Amino acid sequence: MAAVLLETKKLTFVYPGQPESSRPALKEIDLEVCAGEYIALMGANGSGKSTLLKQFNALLRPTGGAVFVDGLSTADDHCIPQIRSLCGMIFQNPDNQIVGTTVEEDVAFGLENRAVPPPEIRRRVAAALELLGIAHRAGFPPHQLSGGEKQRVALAGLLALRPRCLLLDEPTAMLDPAGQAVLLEAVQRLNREQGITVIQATHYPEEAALAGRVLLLENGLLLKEGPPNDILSDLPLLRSLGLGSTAAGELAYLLRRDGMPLPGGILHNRELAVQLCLYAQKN
Amino acid sequence: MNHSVTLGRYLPGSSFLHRLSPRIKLLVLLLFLVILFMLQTFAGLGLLLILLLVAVATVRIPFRYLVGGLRPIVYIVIFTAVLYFFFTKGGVVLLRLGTLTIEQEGVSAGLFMIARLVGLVLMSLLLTLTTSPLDLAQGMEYFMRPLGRLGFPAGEIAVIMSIALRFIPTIAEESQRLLRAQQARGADFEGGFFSRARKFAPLMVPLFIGAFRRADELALAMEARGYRVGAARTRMHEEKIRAADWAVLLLAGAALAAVVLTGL
Amino acid sequence: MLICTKKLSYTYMPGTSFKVEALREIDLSIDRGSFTVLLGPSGSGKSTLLQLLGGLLRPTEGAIFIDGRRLQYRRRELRELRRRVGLVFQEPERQFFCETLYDEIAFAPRNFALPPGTVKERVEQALQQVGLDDPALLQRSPFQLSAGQQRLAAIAAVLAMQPRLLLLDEPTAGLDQAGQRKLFALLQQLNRRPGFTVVVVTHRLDRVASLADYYLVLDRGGLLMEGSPGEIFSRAEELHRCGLSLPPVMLLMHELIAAGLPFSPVLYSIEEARREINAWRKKVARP
Repeated sequence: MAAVLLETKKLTFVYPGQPESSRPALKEIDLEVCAGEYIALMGANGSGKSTLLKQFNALLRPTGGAVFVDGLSTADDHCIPQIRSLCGMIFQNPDNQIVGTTVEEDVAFGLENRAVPPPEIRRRVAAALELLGIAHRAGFPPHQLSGGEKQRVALAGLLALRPRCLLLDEPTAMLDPAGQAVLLEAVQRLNREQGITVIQATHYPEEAALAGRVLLLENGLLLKEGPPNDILSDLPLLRSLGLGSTAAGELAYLLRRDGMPLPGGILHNRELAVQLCLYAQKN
Repeated sequence: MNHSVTLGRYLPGSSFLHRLSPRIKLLVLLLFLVILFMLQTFAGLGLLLILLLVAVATVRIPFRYLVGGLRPIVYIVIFTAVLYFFFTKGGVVLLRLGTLTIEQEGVSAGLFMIARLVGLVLMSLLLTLTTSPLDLAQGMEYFMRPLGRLGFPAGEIAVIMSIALRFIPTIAEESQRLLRAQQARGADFEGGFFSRARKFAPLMVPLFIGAFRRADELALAMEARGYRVGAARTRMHEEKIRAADWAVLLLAGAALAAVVLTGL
Repeated sequence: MLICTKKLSYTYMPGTSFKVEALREIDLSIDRGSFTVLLGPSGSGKSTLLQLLGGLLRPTEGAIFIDGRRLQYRRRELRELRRRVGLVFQEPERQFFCETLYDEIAFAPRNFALPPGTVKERVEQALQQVGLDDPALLQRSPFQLSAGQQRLAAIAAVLAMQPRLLLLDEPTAGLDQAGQRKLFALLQQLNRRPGFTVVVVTHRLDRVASLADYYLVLDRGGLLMEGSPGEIFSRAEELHRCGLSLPPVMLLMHELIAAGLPFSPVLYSIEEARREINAWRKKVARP
């Protein structure tokens, strides 16, 4: 078992300006995330996905309980620069997170903030752009890029800081299928090859099915967690939360209800194909 | 994507002026401003204008760009001409219109003022056409840096300038989109948009709300990326001053000295 | 309302070094009462095409014909066009500017100088259509609604003009699954009314595939394909090449077929797939 990287203990959060008595945005969440995990965060709009993500890089800090990143408490002001170096975040809207006037200036921003020497900045920026396949865009102003390219620029900006954890807040919501595929592939590769921990909030079951663990949030509560084939095959629960499963997951669920003997936990198209072939052979 | 062209906007290129250090360009502009206002004779001003036109030629900027850049000052030129021609008196009377007269001194003073104006505009155009806004901002930051010791937030201002530059195209695009979106809801902005303030609301309210939301999200993203006000930062590109830069600065200094000494 | 275009082209900043050809010689037609989906990778010209169809941009070349009449871009003609064609931009709730939901929805009908009584009727009808007819909401600020409700209200603000054609640019972007479901249910219900045409730009085909009866596919400013769902999805290779994907159900069926199972490759909903597999099961189970 890998070491615990992120940990929350009875994490409760009420947005400032809300009365103490109002429903907290997050309520008593106990969670451990190990280094190298790939986690999907699912829940309806307003269930607390973004709020939880922002706890892990101390953009928001608990009003009750505690959050630890690599053993550092987010409540401790002195730890914040280090916590933000460990956990980088990508937001939903690609337009509102790019600061630089050109692509390379933007990727350099985080390094400049940490007063890294210029030659080192240039090396790391070039490497990050290369890794994400956007080196040819280095001198472009951001408004001339597609949404997918902008998200990769944002990701490159994080990678240049060599983080151990990526917090992704619905990063594909505004991208076309090609842009989604390229971004998800890059994130998966970073998780697989460099062991970077990923926590991704998403509305899309297809994306959640790629994760190693799925967390279901509802009204600030951590309702259920487990491997995708457990969580995403509980269709009645998903539907009651306004969510759904993958096409294969939904179909398998309906076929089982129609009396077809299929095993539980089917999520991927290939799995359903294999099961249907087995069924044909048996009969 | 944004496709609007602003006149006087930076034109990427590789001419001698493009490659000069922005810091040196700012200093040279300052020196030439002093020269421009010290020149007292038509001969001196003529020489300066010729020099500027030669500089324009080396930049190889499309002619209509330059004309476009000069267009906004046409009204100022006309206004200046009228002011000087009619109200500066002295010398031979050239023209008499009822009680108004145009006299020689007025014409010469007016023409001198106009030549100065054209020189001024040409100089600033040469700077903005050949220097990217970001380089310009960084050049200015360099000169503000000493003020930092006095508590002047030079670094923060540089970041603000660079973000403003970054978001100009985005906000231009946004306002274009809003205009069309409200038109699609039957809003009629044609026929005197400025005639009624009421018409502004459907554009300005969402534009402001959008700008605030953007600022909010951007602030969060910057914080997440480790930006802290007042913290020491480095820059990816430190631009170097080369021999050619020093040479140009020296020549500009020499020109100023010559103007002072000869009283041109 | 029948729309067709002849050699429709649009170039941004024509005649300058900044010119960008957004659309090139598009010939297309959209039938009255159809549910058309406009597909294309980002930057393919979809938004430009919607704005041309809504009369908000004037083509640099070519023409648009509405019910057989060529659009001349006269002022009165444009006003009439904008009333009959409702264009819902991306994230349309960002256009809100009024203090109350009522005023927001009434903006369009008031722009067309309808009498107050009619305006009130229109507002109520539009809100009823999108399912926001709770009278308590009327005097509430539109910004206080939930994300899904805001999207529906923004569509109501366009429906209040009583258009015959609704053009929507990525209407589900940023909505959760429940919000997406509601939105497509609304579009389906609108499309059921005789002669009401819906054109949707979208990347996610999971929900729209079972509703659409016609597809237009743009790629780099040109019209790559035009036709029925069957015609379009039989050219999966080409779609894939320009970065577009099939509806998830179809991808699933392709996988099943590749495994040697005897299913139809052209299905548009989970329900259809369920029926087909259950029918197959009965056949297989018979000894």
